[in-house]
Amino acid sequence: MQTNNAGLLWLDDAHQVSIHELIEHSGLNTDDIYELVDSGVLHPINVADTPWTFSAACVVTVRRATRLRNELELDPHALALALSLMDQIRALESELSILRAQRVTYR
Amino acid sequence: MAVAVRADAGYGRSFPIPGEDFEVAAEISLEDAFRGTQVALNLAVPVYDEQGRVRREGRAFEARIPKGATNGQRLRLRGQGGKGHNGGRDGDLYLNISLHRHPLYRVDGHDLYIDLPLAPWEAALGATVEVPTLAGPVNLKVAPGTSSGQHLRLAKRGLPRPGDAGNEGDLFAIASIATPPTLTERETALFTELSENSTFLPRKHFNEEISHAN
Repeated sequence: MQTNNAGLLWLDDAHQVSIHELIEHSGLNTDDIYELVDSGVLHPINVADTPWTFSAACVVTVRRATRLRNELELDPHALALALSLMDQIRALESELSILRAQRVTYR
Repeated sequence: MAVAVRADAGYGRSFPIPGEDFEVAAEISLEDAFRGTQVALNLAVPVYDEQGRVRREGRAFEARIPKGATNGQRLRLRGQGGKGHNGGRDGDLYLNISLHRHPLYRVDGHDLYIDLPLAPWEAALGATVEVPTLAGPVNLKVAPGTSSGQHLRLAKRGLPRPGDAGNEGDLFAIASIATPPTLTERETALFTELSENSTFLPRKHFNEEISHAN
């Protein structure tokens, strides 16, 4: 885990967490994590090795998964679908943000 | 700075009882993201009484956002959430960071974009112009023959990324040619002389594209 002395972790692709941390901070279990990997929602950095490590951005995904499962009682398939749709929305928002940033604002 | 209010329970109440994780939206300025900042947070946190009933109680505390933040970035501060009980770990604080809209800069990750209006003669002849950056103004050399829409890169003048120095984003100045809204008599004469002597055809490609299409 990459944190500083204050226990600070940026939840982005430049930082990594172990599978144990994903479990600890989401309330999901190992099987849940495997299921999210199988359904393409989570992508381990070292897919061929064990134990898996993930981008720290996955902490946000697994916490969202926990909330969707607990509050909406989604089954694993519905959960994977909802998370992948949310990912697509985020990717489109990010693309939109890039285009907006690069657009000249004529005065 | 503005603070959104949301506390959220990530765990059940079994022994040992871990503290609650709190999730908060924090909106900061671009300048604060550049320097790092201390934010004041107000949260409605769950408090349990002896019978295990839950009620929400306002709690104010502060958190440090170091350099490295940008729009949409998230930060986890370990142990700064609710207190754990019976040996359970303290909860964590999750900050969802967003940046105020800035009058000059637009943000894409850690890169910044700024419009750079140029007078026609600056764009044609080249010039050295002063560009404001978050660290103070810098001189930017505009090459002769610069057109509108060209991106002029100021390396490492964007937002700092988390971690070591030297990993900053870039600042892109986007050239846009600005013409004087009104011309003096002398300016009119000079532009007229230029138009009568220039061989430049800015729309030359129109005919070429049409003939290719046919």
